Amino acid sequence: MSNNPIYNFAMSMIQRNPQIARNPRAQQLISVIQNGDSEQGEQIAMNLCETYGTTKEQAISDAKNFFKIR
Amino acid sequence: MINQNGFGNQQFGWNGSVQQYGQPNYPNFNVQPVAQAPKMIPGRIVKNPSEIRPNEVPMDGGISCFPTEDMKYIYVKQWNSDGTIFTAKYERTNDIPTEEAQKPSFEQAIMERLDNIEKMLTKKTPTAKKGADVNE
Repeated sequence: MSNNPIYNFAMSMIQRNPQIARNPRAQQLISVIQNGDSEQGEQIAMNLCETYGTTKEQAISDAKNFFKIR
Repeated sequence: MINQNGFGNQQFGWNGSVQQYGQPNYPNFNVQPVAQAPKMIPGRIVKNPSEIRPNEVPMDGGISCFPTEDMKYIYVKQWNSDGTIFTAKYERTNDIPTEEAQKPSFEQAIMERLDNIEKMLTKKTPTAKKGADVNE
């Protein structure tokens, strides 16, 4: 558990989602987040960008738009 | 179709029963069995493997199959845990002659042996004549 309440809330929501709970790939990603392994997390994110044929900047921009973050 | 409600093949619902004093405050859930639909393998027929988009591969760890139009290849794709997609390529093999097909048939084998015997006999015949000439 982190001291950040937003992080805890988000993690709790993610883990309670049954579609994520039953998804082995999502579970692996969650374990990476929980372990705080930022290097591995970044590598996975970069691989995902490459697989989807997008850049890191474009992916961040898309994510901000999706979550309506300025 | 895959059950998307997230509760497997069970449906939960409040049965509306009235709670009585002295009973624990747990809701009553009715578990109704629902006929499970056969699970389909996602995928489609493609002209070229390059036209397969990443979002056509399920992110739940399952596979998706993409046979080519000419039915020569089947591409099977699955997400890896590192964010990459693993691709397996299967090729049709019934065009290639098998070991069984390359073997001569029984009739061919017999004919081959008869040919060999015939050749041996035709070779021996002139020498026999030659020998006969010498004896004369």
